[in-house]
Amino acid sequence: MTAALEMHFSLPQGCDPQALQAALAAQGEVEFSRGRREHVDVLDNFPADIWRRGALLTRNRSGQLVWWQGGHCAHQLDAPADSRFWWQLPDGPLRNGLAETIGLWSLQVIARLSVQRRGFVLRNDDGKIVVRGEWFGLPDQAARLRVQALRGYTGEFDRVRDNLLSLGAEPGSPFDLRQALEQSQAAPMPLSLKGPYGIRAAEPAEDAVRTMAVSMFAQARVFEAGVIDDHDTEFVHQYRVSLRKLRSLLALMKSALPPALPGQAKQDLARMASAMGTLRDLDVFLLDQDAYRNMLPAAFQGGFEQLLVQIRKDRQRALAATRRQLKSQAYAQRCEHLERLLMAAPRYAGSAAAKPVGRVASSRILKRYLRIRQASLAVTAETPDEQVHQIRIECKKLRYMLEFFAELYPRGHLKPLNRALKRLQDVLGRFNDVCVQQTFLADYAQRSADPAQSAAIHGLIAVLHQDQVRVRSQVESELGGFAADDVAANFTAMFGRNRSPEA
Amino acid sequence: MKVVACYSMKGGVGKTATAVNLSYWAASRGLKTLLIDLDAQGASSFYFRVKPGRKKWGKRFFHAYEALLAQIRASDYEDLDVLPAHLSFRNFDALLASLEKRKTRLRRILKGLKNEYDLIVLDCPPTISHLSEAVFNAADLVLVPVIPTTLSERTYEQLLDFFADKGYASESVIPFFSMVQRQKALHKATMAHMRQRHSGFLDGVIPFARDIENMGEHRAPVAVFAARKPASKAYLGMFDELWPRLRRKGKKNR
Repeated sequence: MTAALEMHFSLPQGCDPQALQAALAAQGEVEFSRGRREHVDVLDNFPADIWRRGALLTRNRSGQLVWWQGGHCAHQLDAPADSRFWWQLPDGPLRNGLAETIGLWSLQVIARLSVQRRGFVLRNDDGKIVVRGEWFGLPDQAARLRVQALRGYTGEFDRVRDNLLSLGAEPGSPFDLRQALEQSQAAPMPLSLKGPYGIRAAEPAEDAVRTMAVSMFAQARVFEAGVIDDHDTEFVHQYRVSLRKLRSLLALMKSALPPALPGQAKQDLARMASAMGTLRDLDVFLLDQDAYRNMLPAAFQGGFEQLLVQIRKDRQRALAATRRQLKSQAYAQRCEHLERLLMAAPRYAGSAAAKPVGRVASSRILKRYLRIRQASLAVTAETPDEQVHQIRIECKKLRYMLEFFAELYPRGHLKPLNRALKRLQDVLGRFNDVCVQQTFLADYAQRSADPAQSAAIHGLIAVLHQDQVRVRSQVESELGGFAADDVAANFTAMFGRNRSPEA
Repeated sequence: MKVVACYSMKGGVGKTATAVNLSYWAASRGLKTLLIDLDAQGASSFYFRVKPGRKKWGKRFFHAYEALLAQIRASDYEDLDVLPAHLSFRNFDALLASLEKRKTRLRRILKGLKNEYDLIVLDCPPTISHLSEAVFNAADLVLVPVIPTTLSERTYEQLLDFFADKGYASESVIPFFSMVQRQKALHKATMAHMRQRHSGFLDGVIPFARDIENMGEHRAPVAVFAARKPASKAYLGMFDELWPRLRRKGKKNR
């Protein structure tokens, strides 16, 4: 059975099944099935990562989730009612695909589609089916038609095709919900969490940094509504990340800005994010609750559940405080003040302000790497944890610099450097997390009057401490790897004096 | 790819009805199926509303399978194609008589279709001739409808003798009772008697039913217009009984 020949058409306005029946009457009798109207919600996370991947996720009224790729249903599953996160779905390829794509974001309804599908057949004088197809109707859009040739009846197919063309039908690609969404002007705009900012290597550093700063601040503000609505933990996280990046940009490039600006901006930024630090710590603990629960023996489970109740209460309080802050007059004024500060005309007062941003960025990046390298080579088993934390912070700054100015360097060249840095940062991050979580828990242990809860907390601290010792040895070997000669040679080749990016 | 032939020397015993309904159920079960209507009368083509092309292409039938491909038509049912009969098929015997390797020609032609189909069903004309020998050589199983009457019994035994005479494997002959009227004592007695004498009869029997006669009016397999009736279920049962036997048919005879 050879592959069926198919054509797809976009039909002229008003070409409904009755009109088609009339138009094709000379070819034979057209029969339409009763058809069905499908209402689906289109789901995505806030940055529209599913859309960005060229896919589409829909949920129909009976709760069935379908992952569409290239117009075809790639995976489907029955989702539990009210499920919004990938981990609430049953195991399978759809869940795995979502975990990879949307991370910790929740799914939200970004559009609603209603499609009417009606199969049709064309019969000849003998009542034999000679052409098949399907009609797709969408509100406020041209109807679509799939026409399929049957083996031995290509002559009939050709006549139907010619008939449709003379009606004004336009040949096109197969009907696809993604395309339907685009045509209904409801397609989401994917949100980029990292540049590009539209800067050029040759422009003065102050101009470039201002452009980037304004864009980063606007980026942070995009998450405000989601923080207030508390859709998921990512809004708070990304809001904080955006502000932190902005603060870092201003600090790292302060010689490109008027001397007073970074300090003034820092004050505003610190106040803006103040209430959210606690909220984020509590979120992190709650996200990891299953891992913690598994660490503890059965005897401590009761105490752990009490701790969770406490932490959830605290989270509600922290959320309320955050909401109050975001809705306050003071917040609005601070935002306005910061925007004015960042958007002001360049004064080229900083020592590097008038230099080409490409050269400034390169030299900063290289200097920072060399500093990290020197510190890394000095780390031994006896080095205090505090020093390791210092290196972690330096690495984060280096990472930001590589990310901020990525668009100035040839695409792909930064990849190996980023990969080496990420490897190190992952280990440093884990090390930091276990340390921070111990402090976080110790604080709860002090406040706890309940012996069961206190026992559970101390149990967790003990496990985390063991983890800390284990990760610490990994840290040393990763630091050695990042300081190795080949990585150093790569950084020098990329950012050395003679290799500044050109406009 | 498996090949099953619906064959009987006698006419009017239910060959075509069997070929049509068996093909339908095979396709419904997901097998890519081709029904070849070898009978110039074109009854199975008629049931599927498929008309042959105008050209007299019968004389090219045994030369190359490409000639067949051009004549295949999609039926109204998924996974089921039909090669309609042409009036020129009535000359098949004379044609084969003039050709060399006439016994194996059909088998070789059908091999050309093995990438496209899982099952080929041959609806044969009621003769014993060069064509039937070509069919016996091509088919993995020869399905023989037997009306449980004395005359039919005699015909069936003639066929077995023919197979023995020519050295064909008699195991590939699968008889089944067709047009059975259980209220008739003769039918009951003949069935019991024949099952004793001959092994290999299918357990399922096809009843004498108005629904099967009505296929001509509906121009469709029974399941399409009388899905829940005994006749429809009987054909489904027959397919489900036959397919495992057909699948077991190794390539040892080929």
